[in-house]
Amino acid sequence: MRIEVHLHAELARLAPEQRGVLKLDMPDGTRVADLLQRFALGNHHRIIVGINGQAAAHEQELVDGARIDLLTPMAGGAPARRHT
Amino acid sequence: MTNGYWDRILHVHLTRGETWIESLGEAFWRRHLGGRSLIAHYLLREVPQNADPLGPENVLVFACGILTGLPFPGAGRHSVGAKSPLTGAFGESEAGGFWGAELRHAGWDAIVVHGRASAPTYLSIADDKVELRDARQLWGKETGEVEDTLRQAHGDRLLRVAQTGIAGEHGVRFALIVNDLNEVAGRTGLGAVMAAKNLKAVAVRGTQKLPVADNAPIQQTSRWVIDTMEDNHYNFHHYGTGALMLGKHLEGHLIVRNFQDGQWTPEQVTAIDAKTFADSPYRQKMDGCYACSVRCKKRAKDEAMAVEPRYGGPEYETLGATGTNLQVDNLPMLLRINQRLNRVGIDSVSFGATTAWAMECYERGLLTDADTGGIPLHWGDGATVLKLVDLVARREGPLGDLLAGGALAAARRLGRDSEQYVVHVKGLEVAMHDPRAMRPMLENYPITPTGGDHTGAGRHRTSLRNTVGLCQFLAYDEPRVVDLVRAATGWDVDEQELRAVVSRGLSMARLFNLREGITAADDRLPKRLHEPLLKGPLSDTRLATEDVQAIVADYYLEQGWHPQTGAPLAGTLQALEIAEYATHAAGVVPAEAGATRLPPAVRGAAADDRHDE
Repeated sequence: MRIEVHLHAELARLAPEQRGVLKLDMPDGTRVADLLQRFALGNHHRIIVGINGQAAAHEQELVDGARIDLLTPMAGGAPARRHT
Repeated sequence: MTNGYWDRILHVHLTRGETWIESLGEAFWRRHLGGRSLIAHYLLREVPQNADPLGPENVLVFACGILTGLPFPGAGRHSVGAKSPLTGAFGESEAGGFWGAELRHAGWDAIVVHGRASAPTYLSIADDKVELRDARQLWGKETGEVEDTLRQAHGDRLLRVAQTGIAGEHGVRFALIVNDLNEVAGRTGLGAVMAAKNLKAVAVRGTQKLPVADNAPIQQTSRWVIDTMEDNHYNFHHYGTGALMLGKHLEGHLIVRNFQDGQWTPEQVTAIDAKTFADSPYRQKMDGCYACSVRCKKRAKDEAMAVEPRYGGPEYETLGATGTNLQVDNLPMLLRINQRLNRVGIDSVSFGATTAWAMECYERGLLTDADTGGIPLHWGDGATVLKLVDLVARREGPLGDLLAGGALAAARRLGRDSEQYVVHVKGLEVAMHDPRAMRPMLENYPITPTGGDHTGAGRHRTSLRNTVGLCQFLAYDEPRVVDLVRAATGWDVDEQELRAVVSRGLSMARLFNLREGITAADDRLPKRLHEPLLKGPLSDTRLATEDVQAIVADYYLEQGWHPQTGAPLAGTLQALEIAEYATHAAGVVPAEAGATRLPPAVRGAAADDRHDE
C-alpha cells in the first residue's frame, strides 16, 4: 500500500529534503507502531499520530492511500522542551 | 553600586506633574526580585480598597525583573500590572521585545504611575532625564503613527515606545499595552488603565550597561542556546508558536466554537497553523526579542492586504482566539485581524473569546440583529471579525459597545441566561488551552491570580519567570535559572529561596484579590469547561467540579493558605517575611495564625507530607 506521511514541525528534520512530506510504499498490515519504528520514534512516548485526520493508536493498521500526520504535543504556558 | 539591579524605581504622579526616585534596598530586592512581586507590593500599598480601576487612585506599574535586559536569550521580558478594569482583580501581564531591556539600560528597574494627567501626556525617559510631555497630538492615533511620530520628534530611530491604543482611549476593558508595535502586555485590560490616566506612551532610551556579579554564566548560557538550538528550540526558532495545532485537533482539544467542539477539520487547522505560515509567501522573516537568538517572532507581510511586518505576526493564542475558535480558516485574513488588533491596542485572546461568546449567543437566538445593529454574527465570517476589531476599539454601535466590556460584562448586560456561555475565570476570558485535556492548565486556571490566563502563573515555573523577567519559552532548567540569578546579583540563592520568592508574590496577589472581594468561590472553572466536548476522542469525558475543588484545596495547602477560604495564614506571611502586607488587606488574614514556617510549596514537601499537615 502507498501512504503519505506528514512530519510536522521538529519532526520534519527526519526528512528535510522533502520538507517533511514523504510518499511511502509499505507492506499490507503495517501498523502505526511499525511506521514509528521506521523513523526511530518507537521509544518516543509522546508522538501524536493522525490517520486521515483522526487520532490513531499505535496498534492501528495503516490503510492504502492514507494521509498520516506525526506530531509532538503542544504545551501551553509552561512549554516542555521542544514543544510549541 | 549594585549587581543585577539599579535600586531605582521611577515614580510618576500625573495629577501633580511630579516625578521622584525610590530606593528599596538590597533586602527588598533579594526578597522580591521584581516583576509580579513588585507589582503586588505597589498594588497593596498604593491602591485603596475598592478603587475604581479606571480612576486616578489605581496605579500602573511597569516592572522589570532582576534578569530583564541582561544579554542572554529570554531576558527581554517585563511585566505590567494594575488593578484590572476587566476583572476587578489583580491585573498583570508580561511582554517581550526591547522596551523592558531599554528601561533597564536607562538605569531604572520599574516605573510606578500614579494619578491622572489633565491632558494627554507621554513620559520621556533618556537615561536620567525624565520628562512629562504633551501627547495631545498622539491621542486618537494608531500605534504605528504614534511610534513614528515619537521617533521623529526625538530624532532617534531606536527609541523604544510602550503605548496604549485607540481601544484604551475608549475604555475597552481588554485594551492592551503594546511595545515595539508587536509585543504586548495583553491580558487584564492594562491599556485601559494607562489611557484612563491620560498617559499615551512611555518612550525610553538607555545607554547604560547593567552591572552583574559574574558575566561568565550569562555568556555561557547565550552560547548554550546557540549551540543547542536545533535540539532545544527547533520549533520556536523555525516556526514560532502554533506549529502543532493539528495535534490539538487530533487529540480533540482544539479550541473551536467557544470551547464547544474540540475538533475542526485537519484541512482547516493546517490552513492557518505556523507551519503553513512559515512555508507561505506571507512570512517575511522570523525576528527576536532583546538578546535572543531563538527568534520565535513571526513577521508577516501581504501587500494586497496592507499587512506590514512591523506589526509582527499572529502567535498561537491569536491563531486560536480569532482562527480556530471563530472558525476563520483564511490565513491572510487572520494576519490582517492580528495587525488591526495591534494597531488599535486590543488583546486578541479576550477579543476572540468575547466574539465567540457573541457568535454562540447569536446562533442560539439570544443575541439578535436588534442587539447587534444589524450585524450578523456567523462562525467563520472573517470579514465581520475584522470589522468588529474597529467597532470594539471605538465602542461604535450597539455591538461594539456591548463587546468592549469583555464577555462577562456583556453577558450580564444582555441577560437572557447568556452568562452560562462565558468561558472565563475571575472575569478573564480563558486562553486557548483547554484544561479538560491539559493537566497543567487544569492546575493553573482556577488559582492564577489574574484568572483565565495561561501564563498568569499560579505555579512555580511560570510564576518565577514572570518575577525575574524571563521568557517562558526558553528551555532553561531550574538550576540554570538559579545560576543566572546568582550571576546577576552575586547572591548565594538556591532553588528553595527562589520558591520563597514565588510564594511571596502569590500570597501578596492573593491578599490583594481577597481584599477586593475575589474569594475562594472564584477559584473555579466555568460551566462550559465541565461540559463534554461535542466532537472527537474526548467527547465521552467530563471534568468533574470535584476534581477542580481538589486541585484548589491542595494548592491552598501548598501555599500555606486557609483550607477553606484560601486566605494566607499569618504564620505563612511571617515565615515569608511579608507580614507587613496584611495591614494593607485589613480583615483578610484569619485569626487562626497557623504555624510560622515556610509553606510546603517552598520547602518542597512531598504531597503525602502536605496532606499530613
